[in-house]
Amino acid sequence: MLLRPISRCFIRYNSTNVASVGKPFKSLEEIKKFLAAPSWNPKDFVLSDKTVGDASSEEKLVTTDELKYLLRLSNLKLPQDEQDQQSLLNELNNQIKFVNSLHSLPTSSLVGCGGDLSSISEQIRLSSSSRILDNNPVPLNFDELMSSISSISNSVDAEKGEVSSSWGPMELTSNPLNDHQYVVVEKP
Amino acid sequence: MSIPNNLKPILARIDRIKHSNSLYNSLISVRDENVLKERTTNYFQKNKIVPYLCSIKDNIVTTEEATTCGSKILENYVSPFQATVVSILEGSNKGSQKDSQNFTKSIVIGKSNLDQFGMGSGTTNSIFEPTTNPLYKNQAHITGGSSGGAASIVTDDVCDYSIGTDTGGSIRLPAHYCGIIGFKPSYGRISRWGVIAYAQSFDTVGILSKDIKIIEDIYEQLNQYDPKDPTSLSNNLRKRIEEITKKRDEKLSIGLIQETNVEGISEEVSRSFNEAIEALFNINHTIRPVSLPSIKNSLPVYYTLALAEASSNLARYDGVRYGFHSKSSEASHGSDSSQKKDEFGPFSETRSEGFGKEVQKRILLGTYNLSSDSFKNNYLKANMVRKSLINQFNSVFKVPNVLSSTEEESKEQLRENKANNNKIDVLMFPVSTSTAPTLEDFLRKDSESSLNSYIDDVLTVPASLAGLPTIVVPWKSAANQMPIGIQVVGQFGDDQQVLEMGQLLLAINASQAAASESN
Repeated sequence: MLLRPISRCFIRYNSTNVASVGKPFKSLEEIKKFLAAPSWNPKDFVLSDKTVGDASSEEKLVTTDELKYLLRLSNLKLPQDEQDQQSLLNELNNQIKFVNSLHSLPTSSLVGCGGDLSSISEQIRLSSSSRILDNNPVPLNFDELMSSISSISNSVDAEKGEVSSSWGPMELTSNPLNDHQYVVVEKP
Repeated sequence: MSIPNNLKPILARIDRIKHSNSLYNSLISVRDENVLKERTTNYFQKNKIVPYLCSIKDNIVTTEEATTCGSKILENYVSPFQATVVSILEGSNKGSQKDSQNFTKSIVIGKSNLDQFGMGSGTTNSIFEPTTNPLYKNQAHITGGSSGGAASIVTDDVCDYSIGTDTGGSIRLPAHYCGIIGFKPSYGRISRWGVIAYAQSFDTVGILSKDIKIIEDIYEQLNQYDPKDPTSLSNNLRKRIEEITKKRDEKLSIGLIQETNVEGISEEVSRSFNEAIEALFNINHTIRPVSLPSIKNSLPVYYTLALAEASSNLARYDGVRYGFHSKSSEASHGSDSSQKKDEFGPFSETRSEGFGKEVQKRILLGTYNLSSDSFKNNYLKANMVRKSLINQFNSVFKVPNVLSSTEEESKEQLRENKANNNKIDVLMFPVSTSTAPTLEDFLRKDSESSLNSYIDDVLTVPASLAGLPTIVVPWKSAANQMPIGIQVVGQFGDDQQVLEMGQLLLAINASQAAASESN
């Protein structure tokens, strides 16, 4: 950790993670003084290419094989040109270092995230309540549930672009993509 | 037949569409001029009201033309259905909860240019070439992104307003760079049905215009529950918000955030922002310092969560059912290419040819954030930081957050906050550290590292993470060449207060300008 640049430590650590509202400013001079004193520099997040692959860095970076794995998961091709491959790898690793700055943030400092944060299930539970959705939905009772089901329309909805009989899954078998490719569906 | 005088200005604007587009490349597709004139004239004859002219960002589906998202992979995709927002604005939404007869209808002139799938902050990542900024006549400057086309067609006085989307600042940054008003409502206020998803827990439909009354009118039309959108704010929650926000003090408590006071803010931005705050102080609004420590982590949180969602959302584009399908994926079947067939998946050719470089980079990082160890260390952690930021915002606003509290809790919190009188109504800070850079500078920095453009979002991302209503209004200063955007953020659901604050700032700025002209 001592090897990391001091500015990145400043971004990561905050001695108190509690929000606060101060007393009203009494004069324009106070306001100007407040606004004239910047509190941090976002450019500290941006790392130069020189830092990627730095042997002294403790960051776990992505290797070429891992890059290929991620490309496969994403269904994207590796560039043909080796220089382009290296450039893609460096760019990805810079971005990873950028998002990995969250690793050093102590979870105990996170406001309103009580509970055993070492437990993955607790983290997953908390992550669902970070969505911008009603955190206290009123559950449906049985009658309301049955009523909701019966109100679902069985007919096509033209407003949603649904067209009756517009897509037959078996039709593709009779429409080859070209001379040598077609969809095969096994009948039971 | 002679043209009524009321109609002449709007018909003249329709005549200007092609010329404006040739200068600034604001629109990807334009509807036929004669059809637009016919629709305008018919509406006027029937209703005796001049309709609005508007553009729709090209990641919102329409049935009359392709919806491309600025990308090759959807270049010729025509949607079989219309987005809810478009149906409402054109007066054709059957399920609308508001009577369309009470509102002025809009005539859509076309689809506006954007960074591919909303991924970018310059409107330079489109396959249809960059959009440039009408405020700058001598040299090409960016409009900001990703709703750059939507902003520039308004700045050039062609459209009354434009509909855009804001995921991490894509309405607000173009509004600031192009010197117009940009409004991003609370998440869930406006239906996302028909909005092609980038990051669905952030995507918000917003409005750009030069006239705040038009923004209010359009917002009033669109602000309704849509059962087709599962994230649409329920009628019950909308009623609760109305209840707790109806009584407001005349004099507001305005917060200045320590953590949005960042290094690198230009003199012009700083000067305008100071002037705006000074003007509010002089008319006896209370100005307070606020600290929201989690804001410093907003950027890595946003780029963890948004890109993870994007990676999942963009997985559907495979060229099988619709969209671009690569012919070379057929040619590689049994070929002797150095890469084994399908080594990177059966759709990799299509996706690599169809998506732009920036989109591919973001999908890759998103995939990384969701894979094995990273899911625990990055994705879950980012969610917790997001929750922490939301809690911090909730702790400083007077109005409680209806999503985080029950009805009884909200009323109790409101009573407590009013009694203690140590909370704030709105927050204010700049939109960006500078005015619009030149296209050349922006492209150069972007080619060095994508992170350079990620940093541009530092002042817009916090409100996106919490889904808060935000408005950007242009502040004109005698000492500055260009107007500077001032950002006002309110509590979740408190959109009306944010709009009123926007009105106030515009009125103050206008009266200052009038006073200095008469001097």
